[in-house]
Amino acid sequence: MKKISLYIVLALLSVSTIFAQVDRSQYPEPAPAPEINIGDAETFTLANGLKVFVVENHKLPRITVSLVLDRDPVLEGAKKGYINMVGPLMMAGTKTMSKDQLDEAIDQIGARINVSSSSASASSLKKHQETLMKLFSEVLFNPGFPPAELDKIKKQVISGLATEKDDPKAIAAKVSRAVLYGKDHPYGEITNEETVNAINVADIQSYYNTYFKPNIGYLAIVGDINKKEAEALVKKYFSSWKKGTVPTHQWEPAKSPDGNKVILVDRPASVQSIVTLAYPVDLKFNSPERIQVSLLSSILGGGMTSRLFMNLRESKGYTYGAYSSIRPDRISGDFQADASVRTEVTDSAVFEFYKELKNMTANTITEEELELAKANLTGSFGRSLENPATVASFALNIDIHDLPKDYYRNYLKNLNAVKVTDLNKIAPKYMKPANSYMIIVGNTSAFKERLDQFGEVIYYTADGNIKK
Amino acid sequence: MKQFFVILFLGISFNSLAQNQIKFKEFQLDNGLNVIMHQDNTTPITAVSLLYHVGSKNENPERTGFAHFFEHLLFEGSENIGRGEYMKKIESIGGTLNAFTSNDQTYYYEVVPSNYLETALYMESERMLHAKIDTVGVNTQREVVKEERRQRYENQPYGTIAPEILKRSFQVHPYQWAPIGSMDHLNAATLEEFMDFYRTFYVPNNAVLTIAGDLDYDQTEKWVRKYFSEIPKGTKPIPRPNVTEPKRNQEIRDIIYDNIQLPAVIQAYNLPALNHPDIYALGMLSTYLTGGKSSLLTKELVDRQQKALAISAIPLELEDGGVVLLYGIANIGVVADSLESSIDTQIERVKAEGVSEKDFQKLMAQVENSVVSKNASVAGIAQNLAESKVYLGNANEINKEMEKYNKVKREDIQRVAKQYFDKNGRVVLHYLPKASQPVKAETK
Repeated sequence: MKKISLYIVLALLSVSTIFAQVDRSQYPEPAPAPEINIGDAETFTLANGLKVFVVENHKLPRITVSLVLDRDPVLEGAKKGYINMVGPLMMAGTKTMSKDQLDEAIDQIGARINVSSSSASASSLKKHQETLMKLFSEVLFNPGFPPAELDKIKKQVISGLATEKDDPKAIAAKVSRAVLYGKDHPYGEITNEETVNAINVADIQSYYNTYFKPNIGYLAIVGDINKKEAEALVKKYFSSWKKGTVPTHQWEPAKSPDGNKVILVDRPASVQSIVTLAYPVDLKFNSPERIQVSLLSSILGGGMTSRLFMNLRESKGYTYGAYSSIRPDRISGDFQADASVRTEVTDSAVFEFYKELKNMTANTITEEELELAKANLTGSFGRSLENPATVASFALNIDIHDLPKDYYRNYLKNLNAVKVTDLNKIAPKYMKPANSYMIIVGNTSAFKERLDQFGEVIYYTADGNIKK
Repeated sequence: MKQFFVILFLGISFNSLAQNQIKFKEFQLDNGLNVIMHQDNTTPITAVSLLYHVGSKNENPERTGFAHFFEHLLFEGSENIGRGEYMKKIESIGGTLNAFTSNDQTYYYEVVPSNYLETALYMESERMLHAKIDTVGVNTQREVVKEERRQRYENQPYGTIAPEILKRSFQVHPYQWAPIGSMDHLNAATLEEFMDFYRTFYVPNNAVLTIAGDLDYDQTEKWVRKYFSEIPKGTKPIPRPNVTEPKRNQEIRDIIYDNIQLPAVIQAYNLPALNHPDIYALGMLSTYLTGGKSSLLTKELVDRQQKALAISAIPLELEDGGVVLLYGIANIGVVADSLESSIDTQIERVKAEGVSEKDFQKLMAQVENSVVSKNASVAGIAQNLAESKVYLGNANEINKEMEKYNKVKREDIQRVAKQYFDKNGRVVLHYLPKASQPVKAETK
């Protein structure tokens, strides 16, 4: 009897021993890091100057063709809004196909074609690639510009403007642009009913004739296609595209404000304030500091462990999320940090934003934060490679933004070489807690008295004008 | 050692409208946890996900919003992972994570560099074995969820459409409340109630673990067994609604005054259960109505008549039968009634005439494109495998989607339009600008 029970005890023991082998007190050791391979884009250039990149990927039987036109920003003035109508009007019929016929032909193969003033894309299953290219080139090179269709588009745009009047996110975006760049800058101009009504077909045609040129174009073909096949298709459909001289435009970068300005936009129905801290930043795409800046930005407001998120959400519970970013641009980049916070804590949230920004400049970035930010950016770089379009966009960016040829190949190496001292040194150059705009869209009567402590208070209307 | 159950599906299909086959292996632990693995070594990343079969429909009507709130709490930590450490650890290994809660499920996922697969498995097992929830976490996340509600619903024009539709479309079924739930209920909830919810629903026999990406099948299975085998099977009965939403014979119609400029018309028609074969014909009907610029309602209302700024059919397919929303925003100067009567005219046309052979072929091409494009990422594949397993009873249903669409006949589109898009059984809401609200009217 005893023996038997002993066996049972042993059996039980052995079971628990198996479980006890799982050491839950610490994280498992990772396996050796896998190699991150960046595939190559094949490339060739047509006689008309169109640069073509091909990324072959056979995982899914589909292809995507994307065109980018690299032009300078254009000031639209009294006709603001016409450039955004170029794409919709090109999609509204060609010289040989009405809008109905075109829409029908695209849907018949289950394809997607989108066109904007400086880009276009088309995608479909592999087996429809010939029809896709035919339709895409018809839209790009044979637009009909039917006047009746422009009238429809204008009506749609005016309806869209109406919906924006009550949309706090749209208001915040519009006012931010107006405040940062001013309304005489291509980045700050505002579309309204009056400017839309002033637009006619000739404006769109003239834009098309000036800027739709292959010599400022980059075409990426991604998917279930090899270089030879892609080359044959591109030659067939894009060779007759005529090159031409495209005008260039120079624009002044935006200026930082003297001191802090608090911009208030009243939306009495709001239960949350959208708080946006913004200021211009001089950061070109090929700036040697770009990687450092992306690390700074990641530490301040890049993810679910950033300083802003941990403070405003996880510690204070003011918001569902707080984030920041620094956008590079060849004319004028900008810094933006934002959160939607409940009305009652608006001034407290504003205080925390300034506090976090100030803190970034005070030599506070730690080794641990830097390592976390590096891991974050390394991880998102690695994950982005799952999408074959990423490799095409790398190739395009190198060309368009004059990046070093090995920018992406060396990206992880350069990222990992950044030191804490580098970041603490450049932080004051990019973090401007004393020269910024704090734009707040909300029920301002609930908190306006408590905001002049942060800077000069200026009232704006929801459509981006200073309130008189 | 018990023999486990392994199935390997090989991709063979002879149909002309075929989808790429997703190969996978699956097994079940003794505690009831279903595990699905899909290997794709092209990028050195791996997605790990846990689908807990608990959503807002499993909630006590006095404690709505519990499932979603619990999703927030599960990021708080475990016996071995301190508060706030969960997100930090995943980010520090170069991973990303998130979760969402629907009416039917709570879904958690991480995508990590593949050498950290074991870490991700360990972390998910920690949450299932012994999540740690304290009052500090509960109080903070309660505020965060309130802000989520304000941001998504109250501060967003047309933001309340989903909850307003659900509460009218479901008179009996717990789909009548949205996953965000009631803030009063969350205020009243105690820590003990949360722990009870955890012990009831967050058990291996109510979950599917899916791992997709750069992995080794044998090694992955060993790790899964190592970390998940010791988690005890749930002992409590898992509450699932067993009510059927009765068919209604009278239209429900209301006006909601919102902070908007342009009126919107929303019609909602109840759908059959997610695993009902008509779901595919209904999906095609939605595409016929608003998928692509040549679709019936887009062409007629946005393009020809210019009555709508935009219109879309949004199917909310749910386990016990969801709803499909037809959601149109009026163009400037167009009143809701006028937009609605034009929508109705077109729907009646489908019921009376059905779809042409040419339009049917177009629909098949659109469906094929969307089915083929669906499984483009390992995270997406993981989710589709898990949902196929839970709602369709077999992970391999992921590979049969096109086959099911191929079974839909042209006449079925007309039939389901007649059968499900019934004027008398629908809910219609007009969203109107607050400025147009009669002074004495009560606000909803």
